[in-house]
Amino acid sequence: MASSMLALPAAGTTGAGVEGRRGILPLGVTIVGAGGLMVMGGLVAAYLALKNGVRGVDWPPEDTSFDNYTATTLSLTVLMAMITIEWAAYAIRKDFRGQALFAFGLTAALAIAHLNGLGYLINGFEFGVADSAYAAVVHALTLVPFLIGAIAVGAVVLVGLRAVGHQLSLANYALMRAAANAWHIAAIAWVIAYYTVYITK
Amino acid sequence: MTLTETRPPETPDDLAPPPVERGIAAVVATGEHKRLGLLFALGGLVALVAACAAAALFHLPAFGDSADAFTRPGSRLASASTIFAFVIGIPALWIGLATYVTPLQIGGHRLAMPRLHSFALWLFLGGSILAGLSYVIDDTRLNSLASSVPPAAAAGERAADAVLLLIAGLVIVAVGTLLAAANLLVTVLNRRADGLRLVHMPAFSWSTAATSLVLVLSTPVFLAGLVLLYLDQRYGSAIFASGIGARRIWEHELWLLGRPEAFVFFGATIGIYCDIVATVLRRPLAFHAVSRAAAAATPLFSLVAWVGATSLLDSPFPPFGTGLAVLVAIPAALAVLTFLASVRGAKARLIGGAVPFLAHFLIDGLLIAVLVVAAVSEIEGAETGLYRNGNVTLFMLGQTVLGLAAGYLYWGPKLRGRVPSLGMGAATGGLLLVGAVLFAAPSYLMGLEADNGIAILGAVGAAIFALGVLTLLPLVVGPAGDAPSDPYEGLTLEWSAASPPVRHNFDEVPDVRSPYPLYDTRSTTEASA
Amino acid sequence: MFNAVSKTSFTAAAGALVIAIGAIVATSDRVAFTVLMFSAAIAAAIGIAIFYFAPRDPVVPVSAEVEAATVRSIDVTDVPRQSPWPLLGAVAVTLLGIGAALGKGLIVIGLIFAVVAAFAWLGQVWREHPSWTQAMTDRINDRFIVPIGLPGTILVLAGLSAVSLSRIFLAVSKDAAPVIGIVVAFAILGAFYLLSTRDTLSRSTISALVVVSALLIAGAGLAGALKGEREFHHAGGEHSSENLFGIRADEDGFVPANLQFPAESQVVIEFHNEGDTERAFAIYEEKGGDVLLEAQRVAPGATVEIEWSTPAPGTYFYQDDLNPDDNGNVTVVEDASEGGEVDPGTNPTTTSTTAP
Repeated sequence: MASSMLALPAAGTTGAGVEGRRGILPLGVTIVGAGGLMVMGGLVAAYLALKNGVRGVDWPPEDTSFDNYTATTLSLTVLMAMITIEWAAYAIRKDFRGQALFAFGLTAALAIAHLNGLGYLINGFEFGVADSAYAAVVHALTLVPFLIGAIAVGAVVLVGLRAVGHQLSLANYALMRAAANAWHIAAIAWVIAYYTVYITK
Repeated sequence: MTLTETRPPETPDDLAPPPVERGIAAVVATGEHKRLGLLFALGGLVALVAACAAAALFHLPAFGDSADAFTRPGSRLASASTIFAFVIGIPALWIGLATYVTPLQIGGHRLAMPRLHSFALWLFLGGSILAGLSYVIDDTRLNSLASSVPPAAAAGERAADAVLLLIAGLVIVAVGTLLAAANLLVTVLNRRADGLRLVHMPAFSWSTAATSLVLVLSTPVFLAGLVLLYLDQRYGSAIFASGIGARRIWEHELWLLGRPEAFVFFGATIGIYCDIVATVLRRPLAFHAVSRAAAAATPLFSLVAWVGATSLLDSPFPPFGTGLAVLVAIPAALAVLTFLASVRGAKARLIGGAVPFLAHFLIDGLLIAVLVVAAVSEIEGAETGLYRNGNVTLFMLGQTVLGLAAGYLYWGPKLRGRVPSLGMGAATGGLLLVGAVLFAAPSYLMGLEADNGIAILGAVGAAIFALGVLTLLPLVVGPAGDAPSDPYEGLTLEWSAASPPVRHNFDEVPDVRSPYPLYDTRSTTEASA
Repeated sequence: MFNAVSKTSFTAAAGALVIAIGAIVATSDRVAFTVLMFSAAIAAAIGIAIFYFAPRDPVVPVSAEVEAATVRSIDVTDVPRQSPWPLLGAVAVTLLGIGAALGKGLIVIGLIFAVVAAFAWLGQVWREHPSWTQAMTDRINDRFIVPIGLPGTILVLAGLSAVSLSRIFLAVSKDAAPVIGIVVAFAILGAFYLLSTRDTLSRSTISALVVVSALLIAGAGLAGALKGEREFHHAGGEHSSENLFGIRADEDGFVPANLQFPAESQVVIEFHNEGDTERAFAIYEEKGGDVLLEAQRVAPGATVEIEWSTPAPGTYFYQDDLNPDDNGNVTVVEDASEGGEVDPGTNPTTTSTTAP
């Protein structure tokens, strides 16, 4: 309309086209990951609802022991992996390939260690899934971050392989950003579960 | 053999276009948004027809007592009809339409992440197959999620395989919905044509973005509920027998009417109607910023359904559980006001897609009449859940499917290159309208203590509704026609593409400086002439 | 850039926050409150993500050239390439779902499919990178695909077909199994004949055919596995009642407690496990003595036919190796005793084993 003339950039060189394409992967991963965090939201809501609905009954049940050491270690591990994946992203931006590969390896190691530890934690629960509503919702709160973490580890490993194959650089930095975002979301998912089960109880 | 190690720099311009997909690969390996959209649409139509068939059987006396078709949680047929209609069919239909049309409306030539969308499509198929299998392999009563009462799980006992398969199928379908919605949102944001501002997007694209955002927020909560339901049924943890808190979990995370998905697809149809009305009236909508805002707001307002499920705030306006949930109707009403404001001086022309749109308003009138009767007459049965379930049928099923059908008819020329006639629109709209009314009638009448034999009307209604859904099939399958690119003198960008569009949609994208670029072009041409 | 959609997202976040507070104040509904609070936070996070990763909505001064432009060209090479790996990934997820519902074995198969799909998808994306050359593709083909990948894939497909067909044959009736086998064999022969008559056949068509066929066979095999095996009788016809001996185990132990067999004969013991735990039925010379019949594991609800060559007359000992307190005597006599049919109960899984 003549009343609102806008200068629109030429196609394919600057402006929405190229810039838009670059942001697709990180934005897509972030949005899907946000969905994963909403799953945690639903589970936390269930936890709080059950906790509030069982007045007069111990919550957590009496004699429930908490492996705070392992859980806290897992939280520190995911935070460390968040730092190392950002280091990898920095190295890719600066074209420091050696640093990037080292950071990827470190992140993968920490992430796999986190998954291993989380699996150990879940197997080590003194209560079975069917023992109580508390047991079931705690299992759900720990299993979902495990699944999200497994997917994020897969993303980090696959993108790391591309870095090994000289296919990750500043030109396709969006891929790196997407993998980093995926891990950050997995870390946040665990932190939510940790805070709910082990801190606020 | 010596391998040359020099790697050429990235030169996207040097890449040749990929080969055209042919044969089976064109179906199983496609990443093209038009094919993906048609596949989603086909799946949605099949699921809806299956749902109607199950519902029709359920209403027949031979298949059991259908007095509480919507509330009874355990009947296999009732469960199948609600799951296949509301969890699989309607979402697939919306995703199909949005996948096909949205890239055309924003001047794009592909989705943001085509392979993710393909993954979502096959997840939908896999989950639907599991859900369907669960109804076939076992006679165990399966909860339809349509009841506000959670299912009982005996402590420590494992539920039947059929129940667990159903839960697994629903999880997979929900993940597919989430991925498709996320991809559509990213497509709207990052795959617009150069220079197309967000405020210049058509209403349907705006409603696609908003609906996708709501699905990204609400579908995961459904997933969380399914995880808990799985643990409950697989291990017998009796989560949902744990008191009032557990009841709330069921109401908000699993109950069909307690989740935003109950209303969000109705909200998505407002965007469809905005575009249809503008084309019918052959001019931009008056206060088009308001109509586009309403198209975006109606899906967003469906989030209040989470509060709407709380029975403490009983609403006199079923199917809305609380007065808050009536908020969903406000932006829709605003959109309607802009329609009415645009009529003055317009030289309207009726098209096929407009007929279901008009039928939608007939159902609105019917709903209002029913509510007024219930409120004023103090008929005892009007307060029953059964009576209210008639409203649910008309609103959630009838109006939503009418809206989606209007969209498929309206953009029919783009789908397979065939222009739906006014007769086809009338047939679709009429069958869906009559089918929905007859389908809902037994709920109203049995709520008013009519004889159970009236349930046969529901069977007839479901069959007619299925026929109405089937009339959309020629728009989705079959050989491509050769319709004109702009049979309606459309106002928005998609009408500048061929019917059906070429592989990359546009050879050239017209300059977009308003929400109605083709109208601008036409007006400029007429003015200069 | 705070574009219109990010602002919409922030508005949705604010609205969710207000409604959440209203919900907890008015109704004390913690689920609604928590879910809406999370929605608010996530919607705000999405708004921030859009700010960082979505493009600007540019508004710059008009230039004559740009104002004169009436069309924009598009990049016709930027269309998605076909890829079958999303389908394989979805199959993997579906198998994982079935495994979660039915059994761990399918979870393992689903994970294998998922890993294959992930690496195949990576491989395709890798080959699409501009740095990838045809020479690299040839090298991969020469060094991996042809010598290892192709035979491995064929082995896997053959194994999959064998397992799936075996499940089908075990599920259908004895008369239907050979008919189905003949039909499948002729179908495969006919399909390959038709393929051989075509002058040209694209790689993608072959791949698609292989995938679809594999899915069909695997699906049918899965259906057969879900249906379960038909009830078997030993080759050579029905067991005569003289040779068939029934024993069942439930929570209280074995019924009958004492068994009697003819001496130096080939007998069939129909063992039905009606309990909730697995049983391991074994026969010994005496308690703690040499084994005469190796432990035969029987799953809960299953019925197993065990063939045993009875020893010389005498009194022997049987027990459940997993629950040794459940035991009894086995008396082998010169005269054959009547065999007894035991009610197999509901949904039995029947297999035949022959004692070593």
